[in-house]
Amino acid sequence: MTAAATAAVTVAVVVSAEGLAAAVEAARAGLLGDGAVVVAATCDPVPELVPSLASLPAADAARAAGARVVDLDAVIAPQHPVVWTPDDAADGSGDALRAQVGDVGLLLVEADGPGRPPAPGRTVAAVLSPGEVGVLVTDADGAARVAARARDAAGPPPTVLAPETLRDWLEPTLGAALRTFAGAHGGPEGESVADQLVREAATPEPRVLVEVGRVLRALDGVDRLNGRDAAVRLRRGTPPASLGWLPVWAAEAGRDLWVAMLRQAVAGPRAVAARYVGAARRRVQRRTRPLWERRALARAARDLAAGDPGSRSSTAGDRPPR
Amino acid sequence: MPGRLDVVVPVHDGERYVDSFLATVRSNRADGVRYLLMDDGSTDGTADLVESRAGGLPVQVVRSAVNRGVAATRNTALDLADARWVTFLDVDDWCAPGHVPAMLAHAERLGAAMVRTDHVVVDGLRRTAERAPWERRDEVFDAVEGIGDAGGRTLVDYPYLWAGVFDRSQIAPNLLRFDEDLRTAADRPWFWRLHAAGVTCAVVSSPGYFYRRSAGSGSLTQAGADRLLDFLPAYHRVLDVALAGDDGARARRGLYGACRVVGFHIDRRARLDASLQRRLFAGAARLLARGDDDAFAAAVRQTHAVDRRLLHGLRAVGQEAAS
Repeated sequence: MTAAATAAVTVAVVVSAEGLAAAVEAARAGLLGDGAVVVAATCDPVPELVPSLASLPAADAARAAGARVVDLDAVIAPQHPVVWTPDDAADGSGDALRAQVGDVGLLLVEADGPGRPPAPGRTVAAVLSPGEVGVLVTDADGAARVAARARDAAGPPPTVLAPETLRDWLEPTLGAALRTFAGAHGGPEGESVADQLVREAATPEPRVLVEVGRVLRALDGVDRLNGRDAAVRLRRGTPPASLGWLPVWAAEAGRDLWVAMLRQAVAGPRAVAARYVGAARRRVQRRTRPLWERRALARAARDLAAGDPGSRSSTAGDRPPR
Repeated sequence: MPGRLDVVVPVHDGERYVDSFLATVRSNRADGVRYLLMDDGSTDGTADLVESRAGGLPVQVVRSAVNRGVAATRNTALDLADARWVTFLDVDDWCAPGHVPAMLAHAERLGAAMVRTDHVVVDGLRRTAERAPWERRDEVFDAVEGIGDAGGRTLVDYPYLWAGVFDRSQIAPNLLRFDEDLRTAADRPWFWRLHAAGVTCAVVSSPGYFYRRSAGSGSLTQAGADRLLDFLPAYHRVLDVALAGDDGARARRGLYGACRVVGFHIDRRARLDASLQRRLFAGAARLLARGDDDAFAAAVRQTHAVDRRLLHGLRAVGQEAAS
């Protein structure tokens, strides 16, 4: 790269030492284009010892490769880099960045969130602006390559779903339960709750709903809450792992609350979604606890009578010799 | 010439933390302080990386060709240590500048057999200070006092090796050794034995130990699913100490700790597969069958209300099996 910038300046924002190294490789390969600016920041900071990634050797390597290095920590929160998150980088740093480095063409952030440098082979890029997609990948031996660059991407990275894909995601995840629920409790004519959510969702955040489904499905005993519904589910051929208990819970809690919860989980900030998930979890736990307690105690009594399963290992349940 | 403080740093495949570890060393140097980096069969070149970058720093790398586990690795380090004081550092954690020398200065000034301190929990970008559960600071006391009675938190429930320094001249060598068959929770009986042994203790403030909760690799204390159940034999050993003699408060404290840890793991049982969950419940029933009924009832009264029915149920199952 040269100091003379072309008309379109590409800015790569990387949020880990590994990502920075990957960007350096990309810059060396000329994939980021002339005049590229590498904006360095860290999502796993050790500010008590290392105040900013911009001072690390990897940043020096980026400079050596011809990139101008801008310390994103200093741009966003100069008083303390710990206070900002990757979401801040994606959502709120545009103006600050433009003031520092000009037009932002490409934003690269980690797919896995703060404190988790990208694992080899994982996508570490996300969309900054509509139609511009960058995918930065590290392969199995840790070497970095740019699989696609702005405007040349074959498709969006898997961690970023466009609104129209929300339905595709919802159907296999919660679709059966939501359709069952909508059938039992009504809703707009001919429209399932999933459809309604897709229609109303402003900013999809599907990972939150993944968490909703995962947490609620993992609760022990939910399949025992309502035998009749379970039988109906089996007749319909619904997989046992589906949220067949949902009508019971939703009937008690009220359809509006359930819909509001999912809507918030889809559209709201993570912190709000987490509150809804927590409320749902606590409610289900209260109702299911006596069921799984009885089951677990009976099973433990049988296991101990038959020979403690823990006795197969000196480290799991039995009293090991001293 | 023996040093003043040996810092034991066990590591297995911790290459990604080498830079922050060496930054800790650079900012925590003092006369007579040595860092024993105990490489426990790493396959990622951790030991080579440390040796190549630690020029001029007081770091001694000790290699093991095989992965022996954190307890055995710490015991080997204790055999190698020649300083009067010893402390621990997990390679994925770090210390604020001056933390280690400050802890050594506290220990030398107070003369207690163990000197314990607070720490900061690091979870991604979040920092949370966790205070050692003892209000009297800079004051030497009998460590037995740190056991307490059922309810709340006491020093035996603060099992953080790296948040303390230990005087090898005052503590019997066998008390400092870790149970090598325990892959996790070895620190629980370790601290119980120390406190019950009647050594002296002090709690101080310090510049800061930063404990990384969500470490992905490198820390030998990271646990796989099956090894999580090692808390069961670990707490049997805690109860061996707590139920010895006729100290009612100590017995209640031990049983209370057992109840709390059982409740903790049962709350999180979803991370275990079905067979491990069965081992968890059966093992918990055996553990909670110990001690006398009055002490157990008093301990359970101090636990979360939602757990009490299950805890009593587990004890009944365990006692039925024992009979």
